[in-house]
Amino acid sequence: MKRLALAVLMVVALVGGAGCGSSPASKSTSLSESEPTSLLITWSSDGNPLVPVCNGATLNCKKDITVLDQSTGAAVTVPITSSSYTAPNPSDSYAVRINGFDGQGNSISSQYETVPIK
Amino acid sequence: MKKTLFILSLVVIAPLAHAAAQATQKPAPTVPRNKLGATLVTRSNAAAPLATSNASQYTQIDFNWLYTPNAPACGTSLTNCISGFTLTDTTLGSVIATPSTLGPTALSFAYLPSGGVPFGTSAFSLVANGYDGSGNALTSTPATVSVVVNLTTLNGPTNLSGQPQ
Repeated sequence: MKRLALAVLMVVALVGGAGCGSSPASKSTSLSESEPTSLLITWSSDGNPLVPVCNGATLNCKKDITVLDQSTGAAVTVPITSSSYTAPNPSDSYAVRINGFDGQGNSISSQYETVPIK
Repeated sequence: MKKTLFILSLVVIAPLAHAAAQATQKPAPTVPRNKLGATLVTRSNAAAPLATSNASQYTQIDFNWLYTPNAPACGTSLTNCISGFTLTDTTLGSVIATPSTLGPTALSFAYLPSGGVPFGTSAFSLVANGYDGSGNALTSTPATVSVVVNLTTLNGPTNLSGQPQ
């Protein structure tokens, strides 16, 4: 009987411990989902598949990508080959444009495209 | 989204070509002495990426010219005759077509550059080929044309989205 009672106590203790451990973890997950810390901005193409990458050239080419935080005015330049950027302020609004050079060597850019939030 | 636009200009640099070689035997073959023209043809799948990334939306250049020969077309005897034309991309330094393709009666040629027509200026020359009375090869001075494809605007990125993390 003593052995049986001891076994029952061990089972109760194990179940209780698992329950205590799971509660904080679930609270942590819930906190993370409700308060994002960054915004992952993605795009499938720079929109100019027929235009060569500059790679040091300054004629008829695409150079880089500007990600603009429209809330603060801060702009970040990322490589033309990038397809994503992690913005630090998830509550701000962002816009993205493509930069390059025309046939006379003048800097040209696309219109800013506002980032829609999923 | 703003469409990508390109400026196309065709420039005939040297519309006239003059007698090239003074053959020791008469008559010498004539030369392409009239205007050489070139027209760009737009690709039908301009939105699709290409194997070569430096190409424009143009896939083809149509060349045309006028020519008044002063000798007959070559037959079995390669003397005092015109064998045809040679078209050269002088920007790349490559021969595009020879008399085996451009015979003495040819007045046009459709050129499809591998990967498409590149951005920037591409210059071309056309010469007439023939033989003098001794069977020596003769080449006219070239008629030339340049094709310019310039980028003027850029499109914005596609499928843009933001995902809070």
